[in-house]
Amino acid sequence: MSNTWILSESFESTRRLISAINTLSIHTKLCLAGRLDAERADEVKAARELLRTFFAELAKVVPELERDPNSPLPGSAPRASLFARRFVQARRKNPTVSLLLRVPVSEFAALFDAEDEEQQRLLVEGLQTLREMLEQHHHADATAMFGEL
Amino acid sequence: MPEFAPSAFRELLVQRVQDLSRELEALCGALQVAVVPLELEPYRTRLLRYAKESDRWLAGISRDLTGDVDEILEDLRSSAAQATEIVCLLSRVLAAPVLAASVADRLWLRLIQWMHASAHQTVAFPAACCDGDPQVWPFLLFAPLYSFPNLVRRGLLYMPVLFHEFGHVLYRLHRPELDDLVEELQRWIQDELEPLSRRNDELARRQRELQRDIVDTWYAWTQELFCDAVGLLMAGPAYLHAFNSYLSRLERSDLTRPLDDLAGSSHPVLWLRIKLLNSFARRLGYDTAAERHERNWVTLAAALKVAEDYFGFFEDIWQTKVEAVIRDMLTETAPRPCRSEEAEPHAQWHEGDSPIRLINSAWERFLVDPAGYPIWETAAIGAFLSQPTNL
Repeated sequence: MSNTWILSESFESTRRLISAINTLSIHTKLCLAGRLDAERADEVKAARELLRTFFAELAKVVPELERDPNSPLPGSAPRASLFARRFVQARRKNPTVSLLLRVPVSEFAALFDAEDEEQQRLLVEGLQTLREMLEQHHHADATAMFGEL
Repeated sequence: MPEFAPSAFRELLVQRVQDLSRELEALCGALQVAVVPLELEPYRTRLLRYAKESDRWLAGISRDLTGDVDEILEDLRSSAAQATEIVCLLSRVLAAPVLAASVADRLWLRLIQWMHASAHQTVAFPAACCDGDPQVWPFLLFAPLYSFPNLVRRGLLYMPVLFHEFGHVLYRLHRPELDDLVEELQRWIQDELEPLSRRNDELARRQRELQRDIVDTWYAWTQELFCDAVGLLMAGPAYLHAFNSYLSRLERSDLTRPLDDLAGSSHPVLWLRIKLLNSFARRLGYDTAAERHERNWVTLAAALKVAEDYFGFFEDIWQTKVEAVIRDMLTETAPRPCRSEEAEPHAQWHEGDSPIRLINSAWERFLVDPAGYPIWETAAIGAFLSQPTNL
């Protein structure tokens, strides 16, 4: 009776998010480079949906944590709570890194459908920031699951 | 910082993807030649299918690497990192039940099959079990993987503990609804902990942090208590016996843990779990079993001179609310309850009966005649396994 349920849930959900970021990021960059990327259309649609759901969840807790970093997060799994706290901390410490850490979460999520080049560049930059944070978070799950040499 | 060289980076990624593909091929070969019991075949089939899907994914990354847009190399690096993890997951975790399969696995595989067939959301999951600490990896994108120590898996007595692990699988399958119920309980606890007035000093800050720790910790605790309730509801009184016997170490930490250990812990103090389990057991009519274990815990606490104290992480007046939420969670997930005839005292297991009757008969037999139990168990396992499987 260990905490593998916490690990496996976090491992699967974070992995799906990182995959969704990769899909949307590749698609947006190919569009910016003037390439057609029609064969990825269904995958991109599913990736946007997944990220929208994630951002909607994040939008619920970020204002609360920005008001009071010590606030509890009822209904959130331990690893998801930890990520939300780290995200808010990054917004406080490094708001200049990318638009993702400067504007309200819902405002950034509006860029998922961006067609304007400038907005697409901001989207790519924000996704890159989010992916770096998620990969760091994910590393702890993967290490606990597979061990280290 | 050295200058970024796209072509060298591209080559590095191509190499990695090729290595992973080779690793997958080797894994598939090993899986195919492994000798496994019939009960494990559906799991092996699913594993091979997952390995093939992963290989197709690798082929997609390879295709993207043949393009000439360097800006996507960082994304492909991340995809290759993800693929590396999937191959690790397959070869180091998911393949274990097949690569280390033994004929002794049949007993628990049969129970897992039956358990998965008991709920429509889990019926399609193949059964698998491997050696390790008692736990489940509730991978819903693949299949849940249970692990228990090898020796334990050769007998009937600790089978009921599997139903606790099944509770974690049910939780993940019903997560949105159950998270709402857990949130309701956490907010209720938060209100209970709210002081009538709050000062603005260091003590108040520490109190606020403790309040946050308690509320956050109850997310995991509620899930564990729910899983205990699933175990008892599905396996009947046998769960109470197996749980007490397997988890009690006769240590002080069974009864109390320091405040620092409680914050962020994944499991409630064992005494608290027993207390809530006994209360639920009485509600289900298992008074005799509840009394037996209550007596043992009171004896242990008295011997170790430990008074019940959860340092603010649980108060007696919370019990009614906690139990009400757990009952709502059971209603939401609707696990198959142990039937009265399966938990009947002196009931004998006959061919065609459910494994629930078998594990309850086993405990009854063991408690009455521990010395004669091994002979009875060998015969019972033989009869159970001789039944045709529904594969």
